[in-house]
Amino acid sequence: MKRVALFCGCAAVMLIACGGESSSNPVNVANDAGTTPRDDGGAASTAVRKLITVPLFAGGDVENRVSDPLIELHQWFFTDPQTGASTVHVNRVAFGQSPAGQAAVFIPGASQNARGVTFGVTFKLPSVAYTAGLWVGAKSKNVTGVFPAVITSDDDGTGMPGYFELVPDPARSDVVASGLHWTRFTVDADAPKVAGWGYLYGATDGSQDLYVGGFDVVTGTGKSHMAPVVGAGRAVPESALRFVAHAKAHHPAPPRPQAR
Amino acid sequence: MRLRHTLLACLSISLVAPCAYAGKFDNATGKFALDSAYSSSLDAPSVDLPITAYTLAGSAVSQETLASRFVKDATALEGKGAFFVGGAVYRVGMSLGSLSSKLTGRRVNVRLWQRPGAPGNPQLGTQAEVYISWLSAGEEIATVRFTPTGRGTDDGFRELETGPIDFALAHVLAPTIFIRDLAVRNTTLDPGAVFPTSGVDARDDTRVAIDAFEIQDLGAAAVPDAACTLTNEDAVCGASGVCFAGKCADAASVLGTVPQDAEVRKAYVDRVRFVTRTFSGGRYALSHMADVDAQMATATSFADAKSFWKALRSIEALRDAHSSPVSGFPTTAPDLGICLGAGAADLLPGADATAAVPIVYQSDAKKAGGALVQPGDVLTRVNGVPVAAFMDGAKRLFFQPGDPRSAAVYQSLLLPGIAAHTGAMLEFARCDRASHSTTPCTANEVVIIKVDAAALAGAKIWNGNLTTADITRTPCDSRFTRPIQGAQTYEYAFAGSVDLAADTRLLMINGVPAEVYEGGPEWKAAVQNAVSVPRAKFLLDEREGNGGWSDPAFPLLFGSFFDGPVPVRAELIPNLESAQLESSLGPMRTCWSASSKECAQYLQFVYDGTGFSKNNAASKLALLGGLDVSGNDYLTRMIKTRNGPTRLFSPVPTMGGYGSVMMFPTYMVAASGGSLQIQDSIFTSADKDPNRVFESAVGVSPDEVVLEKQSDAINGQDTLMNAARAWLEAP
Repeated sequence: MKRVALFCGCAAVMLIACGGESSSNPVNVANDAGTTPRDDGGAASTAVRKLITVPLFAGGDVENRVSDPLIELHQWFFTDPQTGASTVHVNRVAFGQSPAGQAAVFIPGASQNARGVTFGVTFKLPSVAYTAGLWVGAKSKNVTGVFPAVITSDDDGTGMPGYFELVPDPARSDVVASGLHWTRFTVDADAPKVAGWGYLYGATDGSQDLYVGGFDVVTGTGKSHMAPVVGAGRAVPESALRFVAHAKAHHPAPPRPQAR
Repeated sequence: MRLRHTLLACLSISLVAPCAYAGKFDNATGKFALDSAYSSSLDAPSVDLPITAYTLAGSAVSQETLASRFVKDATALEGKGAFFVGGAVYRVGMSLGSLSSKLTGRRVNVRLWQRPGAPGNPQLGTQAEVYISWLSAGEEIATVRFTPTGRGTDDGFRELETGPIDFALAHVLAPTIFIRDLAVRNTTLDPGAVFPTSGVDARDDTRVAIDAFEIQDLGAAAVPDAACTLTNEDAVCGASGVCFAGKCADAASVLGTVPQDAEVRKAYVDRVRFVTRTFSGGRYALSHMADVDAQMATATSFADAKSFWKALRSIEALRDAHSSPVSGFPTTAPDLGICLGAGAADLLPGADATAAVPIVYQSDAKKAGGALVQPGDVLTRVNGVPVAAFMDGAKRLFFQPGDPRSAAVYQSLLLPGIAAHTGAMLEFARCDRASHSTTPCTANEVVIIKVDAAALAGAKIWNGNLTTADITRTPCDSRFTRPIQGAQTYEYAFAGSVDLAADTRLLMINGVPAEVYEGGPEWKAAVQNAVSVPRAKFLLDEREGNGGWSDPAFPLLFGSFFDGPVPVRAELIPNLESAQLESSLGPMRTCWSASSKECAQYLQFVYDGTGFSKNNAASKLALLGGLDVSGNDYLTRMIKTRNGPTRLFSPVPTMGGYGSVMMFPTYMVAASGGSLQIQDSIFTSADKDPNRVFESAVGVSPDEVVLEKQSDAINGQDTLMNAARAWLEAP
């Protein structure tokens, strides 16, 4: 099992000037507050194509810099929600699919994944409060049937994992890009007391074809902190229990001293 | 990972036709026009340059299928169509050999554009990985990845380039462009995936459009057409060149390209530095991080490949046995057929018989280098300078992880490869075997054998008569002899045992694989079998101990060789930024005790004696070490705490890698994102144990340092094995 070493985020724009070409319509890929909606549909457009500058890194503080978004997806895992087998139907698709410019993964719905798909990626938890976000796209306006969460290995030093459910951000719902309707799922999380590791963990229910991608963790947002859903003395919703149980059963095994 | 390509017996369709376009993006039309030394619109096949294509399974793609991938597309970036890769057309090779007469001796930048999506269906997209590779006789000699330029279009096209690079490698080999469907990388379908992260469908309907191919002529080649050695490469090859197989070659081709834009370069270097600082868990590493980070930061100011990559290799000073630097693709050179190991030159006049020097362990007479040497020959000089001086100058060619005291073994193993890749002249010293098999010879009796790697190996690359056999590596490791024979004994997951006498059993392993690893169940069964019976004397030959995982190795071996609980437990403790050790250790222990799973990457290897058979608890146990790391570090460290008589025989300490390895993503110019150890370990008896000594970077020292004697080598005697058996036999 290759472990994931992603610590990423989008904090600022860094536009790379190349070959003397100027950006006539730069895509604000790094602005997590939103992107310019467009609907090119991916088909031949009546609008004239424009040259843009594509950030190679999202810039800003290095701690929040997105590594190559395409490579991020190669650290993700996708499994059958019941068996944990990695033989589910997913397909990595283009960069530029999500509104923020990152690659997205196509997860077929009931035609191929009637039980849905669990997905995830490991990252190193920041030791400060952070906002985690994920883009989810669908062909219809209703981006439903996906349940993303951030699970921390030990949120408060008691051995209890922290569970932070990502919820749709109303300000970034139904962003149209690449012919899809995208919704940004986010959560604001407290600084963990044991700043170890986190797992983006999610599941689809197979009700429709979905695209997921553009996961990031941003620190220094200045947003108010929300308590984790699961933790000592806190109410535990059913969905959270389901995720935690699933995480314990299926989250990646600890990294192992590998053969050199 | 690397791909192997065979250009023979493949479909040949030509697709690149030199064109003359206006080389600009037209804001009015939204179209790109080409204007470079050589370019192609990729609208249709062309006869000028051949293209080959393969399926994921490695079968050649039919001419009809390939031709059908040139598709008219109104949304093409340039011209009237594009070439679509993906599905059955998994990998494409485009030879630029026909341009040799015009571009050899020139510096170029090769660019193309890609856009995910099938014709008419942009949501069926995949992405292409693009490489430029220099081949000899169908074998990849050097490879560089295309990287994003930062230019794109608002409908999804992205530009990739090689960056400035000499067209022909060493003015001899013309390049080939390889384009591969990225969708399966690191999945269960990827034959090159080491640890696949997921499954993925091998869909046949995903596509990526390739368009607007061009080669810009940037002027004269940066590297001269000259013969060289590693020792004189700076003077002969210049700032942009390295010595490869005896000829000057563009360092960007051999080591990897460098982002030429200063801001991009700084962003990349900063990211690598951040990863290193954030994920390192070794406490020695952390205590030296400031200096290493400052060294890495200097890469920002280097646009030349030699200086840039050297600066990023400064993580060697972290002494992290699990570390590897970000790096470019490995190069290929013929194998010399020589295996070197750490030895003692007890037959050479005036030699220090206690100092470790490289001596020949084995040789393959079927190979040009191996035919010239014999076991026991001592490597004394390389390129006319002492071996140590040569290796000091060869640091760009190897990386010494972990405890530097293990260098004598590790670097001896690497040295023949370094010689082949640079085209070095090796000088071996030999005494007359008939008259000096046990006693030193005189200076006048020393025979010098020269092995010219440039002539014997490098020339095959440049002459194009390389064969698969030439690049097949001679199996070498740190054992002089192997009581159990066979190719399988070189495999990582090998385990086997043999009784050397009625009361003496040898168990030979190469690592401690988890049961889920390939070969893990067989390893477990072999070790179970080996320790299932009592023997008064045991040898555990782990001279090639490449690590693995605690289970099933530790319970099996400790259960047999301990008479009760293992006195120490290993606590693997991550580095938690801003967290003090004492305040975080308690919660992590509590968490682990509650779940027996890792908690924030904290975990324990603890064995309380439950289920131990103890059937060999009183046996004398000789450990044979050589090149041991990670899981074998732990095994050696912990098994030496048993009450029964135990002794480690080795030429060097273990490498001191007490933790887990994390491999990092690749992006931009690197072919490997490198790796680091993410925890360090203390060894404690219980929670109340005050010991807080983190042990990584310092391996387990041998109780008895044993070097293979030159005199033993020429007589076929394994000095290390003999020393261990002598101790076992002693009262």
